[in-house]
Amino acid sequence: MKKKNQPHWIMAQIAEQEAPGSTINLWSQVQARVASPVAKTHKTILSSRKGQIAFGLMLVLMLIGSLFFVPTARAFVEGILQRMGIAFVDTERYEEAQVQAPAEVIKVTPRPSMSIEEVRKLVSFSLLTPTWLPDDLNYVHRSVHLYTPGELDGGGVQVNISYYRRSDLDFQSGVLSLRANDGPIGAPPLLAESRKQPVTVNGQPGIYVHGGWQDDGSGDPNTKMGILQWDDQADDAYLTWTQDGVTYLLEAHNLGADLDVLLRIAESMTNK
Amino acid sequence: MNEADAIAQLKAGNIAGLKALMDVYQVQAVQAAVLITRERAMAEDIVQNAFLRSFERIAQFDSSRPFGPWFLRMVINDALKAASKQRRKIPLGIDEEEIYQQLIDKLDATTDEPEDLVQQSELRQVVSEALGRLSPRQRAVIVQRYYLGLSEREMSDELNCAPGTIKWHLNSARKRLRALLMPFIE
Repeated sequence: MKKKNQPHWIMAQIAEQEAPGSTINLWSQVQARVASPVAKTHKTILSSRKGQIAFGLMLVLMLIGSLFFVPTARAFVEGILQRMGIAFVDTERYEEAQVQAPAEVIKVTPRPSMSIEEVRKLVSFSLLTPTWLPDDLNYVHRSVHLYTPGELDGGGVQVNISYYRRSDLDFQSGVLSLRANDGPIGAPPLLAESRKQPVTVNGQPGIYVHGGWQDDGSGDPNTKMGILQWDDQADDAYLTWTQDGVTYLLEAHNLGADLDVLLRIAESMTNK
Repeated sequence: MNEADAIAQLKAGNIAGLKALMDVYQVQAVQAAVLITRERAMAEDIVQNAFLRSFERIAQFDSSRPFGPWFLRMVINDALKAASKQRRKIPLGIDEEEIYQQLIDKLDATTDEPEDLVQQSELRQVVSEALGRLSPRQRAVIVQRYYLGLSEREMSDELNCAPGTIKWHLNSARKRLRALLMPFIE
């Protein structure tokens, strides 16, 4: 009988080879550390490394300070700073920069979708949502996330609403994602600075970008981020703006959406 | 003791609850961490610390949700941080989707044949070495997707990332792995 999931099987085999399950038993160590007054990992590390931490902090402060005085360093940081709901990298000046989006974390059980009423109760701001969408986006998933300090460079309370074509919420068949946040949006898409288009959204300044990174050698060889090349033909579109203190980011993937479509969606948004 | 009972005990300060949770999750956690860090001792340290942290922070844990994802998230993030500190510069490679499919087909075809056990062992070794040549972030994505069995949507949901961002990370990691394996595929 053939294995149903070979990639999982081989990963499990490798894991078992490197750390056999029968040899893993951490209870005695953990029990001892729980019982010990100096067991609490973070405190122990912190207290034993005060000098290193102080030195590290000093170094960070010096680095931050240097950014204001060294034009190239400042320019690089500016090149990847988040603007509204999007982060940009200046590929013309820094072709070799290999910048990736924030780290992955996991969840086994998907959260059930919230109702729009539940979402509105959890946010302190007046949330705008679309009253017009492309016809076939009939399935919606809503969630709210409260960022912990430092998490994915985000902050505040973020509403995530995704509209799908299929009931199984398969995003590869097309998805429109709306993020709204009264603080910085976490894990913003990292896009090519050179493709940034200033636009006006609901009377506010906004940014529109169309396209995406490719790692298969296609795309514009003059717009690179590490091994990735920017492809204007990629079916990805982004629109971000700030309105009444809330940053909105609309992302369309595999929908054939362009600026007109995203603007129409944005302009239809109300707090009803 | 079921998971809900274990968490209730832990919230009441009884470490018997922690032992019950460790019995369930320690193997999966250490193996996931070792796949990312490539060092067993480091992986065990990470998991020990994660269990201690979960003990310290159990009051903040929402008992209506499963413990595993909350705990494994800590482990994956800590493993990624630890591995990133040891990161070496690795030249990146690119390859095509078919290469990966050929590899999977080959694995499927060799599962039951006794003589293929040798090939499987070799392949396991090759994949293991290839994993070691991925970046820590790519390894973490591969581990979440293929070892822990998370869907792209689950990863995207928890990350508060657009699905496209996860897809990009995953494709990048997959293609890197395939490129590394290419010399071993007929």
